[in-house]
Order: sequence, then C-alpha cells, then structure tokens
Amino acid sequence: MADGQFTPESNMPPTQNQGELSKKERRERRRQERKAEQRSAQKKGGMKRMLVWVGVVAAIALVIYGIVLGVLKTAENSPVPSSVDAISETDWVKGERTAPVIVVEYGDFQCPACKAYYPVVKSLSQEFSGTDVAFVFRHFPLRSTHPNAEDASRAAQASGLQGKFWEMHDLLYERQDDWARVRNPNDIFKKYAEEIGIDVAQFESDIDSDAVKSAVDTNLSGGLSAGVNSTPSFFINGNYISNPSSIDEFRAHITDALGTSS
Amino acid sequence: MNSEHTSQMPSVLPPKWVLIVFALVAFIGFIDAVYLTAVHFLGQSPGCSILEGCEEVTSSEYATIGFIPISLFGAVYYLFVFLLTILALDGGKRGALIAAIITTWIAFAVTLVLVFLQVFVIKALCLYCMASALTTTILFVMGLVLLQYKKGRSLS
Repeated sequence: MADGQFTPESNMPPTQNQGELSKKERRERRRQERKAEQRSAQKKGGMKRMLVWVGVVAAIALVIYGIVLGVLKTAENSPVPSSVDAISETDWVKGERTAPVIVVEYGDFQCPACKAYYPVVKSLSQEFSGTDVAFVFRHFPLRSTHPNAEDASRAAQASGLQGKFWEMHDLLYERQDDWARVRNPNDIFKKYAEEIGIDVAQFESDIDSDAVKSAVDTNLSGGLSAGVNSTPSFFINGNYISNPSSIDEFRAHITDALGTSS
Repeated sequence: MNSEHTSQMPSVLPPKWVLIVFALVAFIGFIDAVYLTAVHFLGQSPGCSILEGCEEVTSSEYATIGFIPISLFGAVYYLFVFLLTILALDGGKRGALIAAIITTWIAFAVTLVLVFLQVFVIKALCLYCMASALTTTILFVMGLVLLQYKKGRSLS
C-alpha cells in the first residue's frame, strides 16, 4: 500500500485506526479482567462467609452438647449417701417404731427445699397412717449456710420434750419465711411455743440444755457419717432415694418397699 | 425526636474487634444460660447442699414461667444477639447491629427486675444468674457506646 492511501472502510489513517481499536480492546479486556476478579472475590467471599456460619453453628452445637453431657455426668457421679442407722428410741416418729417400712428424712428447718417437701411428706404420712409405714425426722442443720437452722432444730427438739415435736416441726416449716432471716429467731420460736400450748419457761430452758444440743448433734453426725450432704435427704428402710420429683414418685417408692416387705 | 434518634444510629459499623468482643460477651452469656437451662431439666432434684448452699433462686417460683425456666429465655436472647452481631460482622449489616443493641435494652430491663427479685424478694443470690446479669449489663453498656460511634471519631 502506498503512503497516504486510505482503505475504503475507514477514513482514518491506518495507525490511528489501529490505536483506537487496541484502546477499545484494552478497555474491554480490563473490564473483563475486573469482572473475573470480582467473580473470584465474590466466590472467595462466599466461601469465607459460609465458613464463618458453619463455624458459628458448630460452636453453638458444641456448647449445647458439652454442657448437656457435663450436667448429666455430674448428676450421675454425685456421691450418694450410704444406708443410715436403724430407728432409735430418740428418733421422732410418726407411726409405729416397729413398722416394716421406715421413711427417714434428714431435714433442715431453714432449707427452702425441705419446706417444699414438707407438705408432700405430711400428706404421705397421713395417707399411710395406720399402715405399715412410719416416718422419721432427723435434724441436719446446715450451719454454714443457714444461721438459724440450728436454733430451729433445738426449738423443735425442746418442744418434743413436752410432747409437741411435730406441732413445732409443722409451724417452723409453714412460717419459715418469718424467722429464717431474722437476727434472733428464738423470740419468734417462743411465740410458737405459746401457740402450740407448751410451757414457755421450760421450753426456753430446754432450748439451751445440753440434752437438746447433743440430740441435734447426734442426728447431724449420724447423717454426716452416712454421707448425707444435702437436705432434704430421704431413706426408705435405710436405703437412700434421690429426691422424688413428685408425690406420685415418692408414693411409688413407699408402695414398692411395702410390696418387698410383705 | 425522630431525627435525634436516627442521628444517634451509627453511620458506619464500629471496628471489627469491638463487634467481636460484643459477640463474645453474648456467647459467654449464652453458655451461662444454656448451663442453667440444662441443670433445670437434667440436673439433680433441688435441695440445700452442705458445700454449695441452696438453689433458692433457681428453685423459686420466679425461676420459671409455666414450665419454661427463665434461663431458656435468656439462652434464646443471647443466641439472638450473638447471631445478629455475627450478621453485622459478616455482611456489614448495620441494621442487624441496631437490632442486637435494642434487644439488649429489653434484656437489661428484665435483668433489673430479676436482680431486684433476688435481692429483695427471694433474698438470695444465684452465682450463674448474677453472671448473666453481668453479661447483659456489659452488652447494654457496650451497645450504648456503639450507638455513639461515628467514622473518624473515637468510641468514647
């Protein structure tokens, strides 16, 4: 091609035309490269996001699984008290001391859980009254957590000396909220003594007597040596039962024992 | 009031590390609440232990609504806040963060009631419940601080 000659397709000089095309091409190429980069970044970002969410779900599942397993294992491995002493002359008993089925409760009058079990035990003792079942209460005041529990046990014990143990036992549980957090619960216990109709002066002197103190101590140390570590703790014929979750479950334990004993 | 309210909303997301701390606190709260829920359903029956004292709070009448323990509501709340914060972190969604922060306001109000019940009504404290009160308070305060965040400004 001679110099200065133009092709019929273009009015531009050839060099300029080629430059224009290559610019377009370059622009197009850059655009496509950018698109490809974006696509790959999107792909990478999508993967990253998916990994984040998979990690989040895995962490949540792991936490729930670990905690459930841990709680179940702790419940299984917690120490269980061994059998307790047979019924003695000094025990407070509802029913016949010679009954073939004996339900023993280690209780703390200031313990809210014992208060929650109180109506259950009372109702069962009424239900099985006159049958082959006897109910025993033994003191287990948790001195470290319940500052008034020991005094309450002594109040019940002192009332027992005047033949009104169960009356005081019931009042202490029913009105636990009134005395559990006061500084000197004995003032309130004195009123309860009046209410159940015992000699208050005698009651006051008995509360501080060595006999009452040692009776509470004997119950407590008997429970401790059997491995009792919480209240209430129930034993049927000397064997520990984990706290029943309902009155029906409790009743079933008793009727089972009755079935075995007959 | 409205413009004042919206002007308080963060125009941009706070730094990632702050959101990560926020999510972690929510996750700690979640662990705590799941533990309390698991103990409620699977643990030993309530009692007073020589070593640990009583489960006065978790076995009180205020510990459940019907058959559902309060801790289960807590677990759902913490999980919700945690997931919203991850959403904000992951997708840069400002709305998710705002929703998480507003949820902490409700939770903080509930926490105040629960702490009041423990101190003045049940008159006993439960360690794990107080830990939950602490995590909710941290989330609430962090949320207030995060609302003040504007790009280029410090978080204070």
